[in-house]
Amino acid sequence: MKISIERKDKIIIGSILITFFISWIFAARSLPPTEEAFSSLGHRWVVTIGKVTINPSTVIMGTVVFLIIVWFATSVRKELRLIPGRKQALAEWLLDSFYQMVEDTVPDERFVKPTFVVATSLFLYIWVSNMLGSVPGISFVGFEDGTLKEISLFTDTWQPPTADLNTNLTYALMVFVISHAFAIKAKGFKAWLKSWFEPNPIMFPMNLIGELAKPLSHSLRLFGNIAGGGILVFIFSYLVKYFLVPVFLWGFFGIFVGTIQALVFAILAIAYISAQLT
Amino acid sequence: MKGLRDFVKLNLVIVFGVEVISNIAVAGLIGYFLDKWTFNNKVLFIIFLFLGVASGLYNGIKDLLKEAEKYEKLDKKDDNGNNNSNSS
Repeated sequence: MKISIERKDKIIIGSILITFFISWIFAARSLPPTEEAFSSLGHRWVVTIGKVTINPSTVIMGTVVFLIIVWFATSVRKELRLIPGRKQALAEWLLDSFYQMVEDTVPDERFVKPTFVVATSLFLYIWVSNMLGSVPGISFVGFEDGTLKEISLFTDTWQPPTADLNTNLTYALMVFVISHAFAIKAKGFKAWLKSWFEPNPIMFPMNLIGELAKPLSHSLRLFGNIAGGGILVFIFSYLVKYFLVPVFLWGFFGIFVGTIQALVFAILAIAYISAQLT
Repeated sequence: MKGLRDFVKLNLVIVFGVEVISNIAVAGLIGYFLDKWTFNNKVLFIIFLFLGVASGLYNGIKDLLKEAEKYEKLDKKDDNGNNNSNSS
């Protein structure tokens, strides 16, 4: 492939680079001192209404992710054709490969479709929300007691809902309940109860602890990867005064780690459901 | 799908560690509250911590073996499919 750059493009690229350098110098000069910059690290903005405490950034970004997925789905549905366009091909490839994966793993034929629906919707939601973690945008910074300190523009990425443990724990608990409901439906209540005492009754505490630990490890893995990635990028970027590095690291944690973790979350959901069915 | 699966295999590296830690955490929590509500002398807490370690190792190794077996089976299936398509 041969890339040819015209004179006009060179001028545009050059002016972008010069603007970038100048804004970098101004940004580096106006950065707060270390103690101040790291004092709000990991603190969130929370709002208490009555007895309920909510996390507004998670709610707002969660709604945005939901709207993005609905918009994509409706736009694919509008242009549904026998010879697929680009969007339809992407959607078909994704759903088809997921369906095959579920078919390979789940032993009972009745539960292939429900498991497919659960796993694919989890994957889509988590993937899109992880992707938001690679795009610079508006983020909320809170004090230690949860009040709003500032709304920062384009110094950080959009806050992905998956960087909040509440979201991940909800989905992990959902998978936990669904897997046991499917197990009761597939094997009957008595056989399900008996499965807790296998291979012999002494193992009951271990089985119980192992089952309860599943949602914990399931949710903490995703939370640790996404939230930890965000904090790591912040620290690295501060060390080099926000010069170039954040762009690369946002891309790495958002796109690479985000895709792998979304896939792992969905695959583990399938694995937990199919493990209960056998 | 095979390329994606190779990426997901990387996850096996942390599956075991996360499993053991979360088992110990859950067992510790159960032990702490049981202890608080019954004798309040920290014996049950320590017993449950050890139970958590044992359960973490047991479940971790069980899951690792299961995952490895699954990937082996899927890889073999893929290889067979490729051979068939090449020969035909």
